[in-house]
Amino acid sequence: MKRIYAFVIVALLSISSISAKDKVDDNRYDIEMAEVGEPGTLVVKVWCYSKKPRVTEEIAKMNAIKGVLFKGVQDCGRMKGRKALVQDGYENHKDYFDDFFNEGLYNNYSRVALNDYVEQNSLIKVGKLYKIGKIVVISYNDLRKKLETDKVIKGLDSGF
Amino acid sequence: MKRLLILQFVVLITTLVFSQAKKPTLMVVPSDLYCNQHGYMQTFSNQGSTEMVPDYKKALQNDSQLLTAITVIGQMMADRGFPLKLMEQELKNLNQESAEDALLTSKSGADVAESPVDRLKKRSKSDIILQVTWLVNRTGPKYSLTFNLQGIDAYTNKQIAACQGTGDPTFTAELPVLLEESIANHLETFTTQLQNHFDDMFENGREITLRVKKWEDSEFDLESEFDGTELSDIIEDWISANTVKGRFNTTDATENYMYFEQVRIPLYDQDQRAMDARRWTRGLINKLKTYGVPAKLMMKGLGQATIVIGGK
Repeated sequence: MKRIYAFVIVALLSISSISAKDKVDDNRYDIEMAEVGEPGTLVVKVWCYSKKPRVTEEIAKMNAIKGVLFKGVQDCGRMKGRKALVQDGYENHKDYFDDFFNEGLYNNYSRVALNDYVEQNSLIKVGKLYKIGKIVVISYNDLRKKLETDKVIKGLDSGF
Repeated sequence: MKRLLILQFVVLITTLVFSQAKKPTLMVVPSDLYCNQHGYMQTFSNQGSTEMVPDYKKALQNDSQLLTAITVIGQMMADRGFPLKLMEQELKNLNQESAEDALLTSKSGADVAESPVDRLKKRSKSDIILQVTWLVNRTGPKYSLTFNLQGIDAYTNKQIAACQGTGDPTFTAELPVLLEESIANHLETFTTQLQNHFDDMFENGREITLRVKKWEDSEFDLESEFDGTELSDIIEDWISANTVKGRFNTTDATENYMYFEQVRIPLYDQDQRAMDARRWTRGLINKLKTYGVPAKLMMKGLGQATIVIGGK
């Protein structure tokens, strides 16, 4: 009986260590402009950090949307970045954005370009982690309009 | 009685909910620099000295890139709830109106009344002017585009928003594509600044300018005294009491002329109706009336008013 318990514990530990190795740090990401896209869209490069040299499409999209909403997009070369859409931050709209991400609504406003393809210079080893760059196309105008309609942010014409 | 109270309550709620500030109009205009560089200027002699003014009609009729810029900016601003006034249509409309007025007569044969000032005021205008310029830079076989957009308040002449930048050099991209890319790249910065300007306006009131002049034959001037107080002081006191946080600057003050800048007027009056420079200045005219000083009120758009004391 003791042997079985010991086996189960060892098995559980090894599974958790495998998943930990594969774990992506959801809250650590960088975001910068990638291209001037079609009017109304934003093409960004989002850098995710992971113990494995890959990152899922979901994580890339989620981080890209989080970046556009709360962090702002950095300039890249001569391309102008964007300020965070939600200037008063996540905490002031916690319930709204918890639902937004849990229900997967961010999928309506983002798609990953070249999903299974790793571009040159888009995979960097940083210490024990990999920094993986993914190109994400964001429907910026639609996202902004959604937030304006839901009264999360003010529209340019609000009050007039 | 109950019904009356309910009715008053409904009217009050409707006013509070639906009262909205007066929305400024926006128009894209090519800058003087752009017009000059592309030969869209008119030259005329003004009492011996040669002056040049932009020929917008010529620019709009000849420059397809300008049309691209106006269209792209217009599309993006409309998307943000601010459809632009089109200068081309405004100019056509003015011509049409002039032609119609020239032919219009009443049944008794009278023409439409029009003073020289009315004629002068009949020109294309907007509350905020979006002045656009772009330059094509060449370095060997590569070229790039430098884009500049300024948002200017037509009444205070202040730059309220701006964006500018140079795109990446390219061998192949067509100029209209570069122009579209530049606008898409920079306009977000511009609208963010415009948003800040509107936020400031909602917090601190609309900024207007006010000029006070006197008719030559007026029996009063701005140094005339009423109960020991000069008329200029009475005007300043009224402005101070009726501006948001008492904000205004007296830029010029003589016995004949006063000029007030950075006058911050509230966006709504006591009845929650949207306020502009004309409605606000009407209050000053009423104040002057109590001293027996008649005055004429003239306005320009939402943010510029002129009163002339001593008559209508």
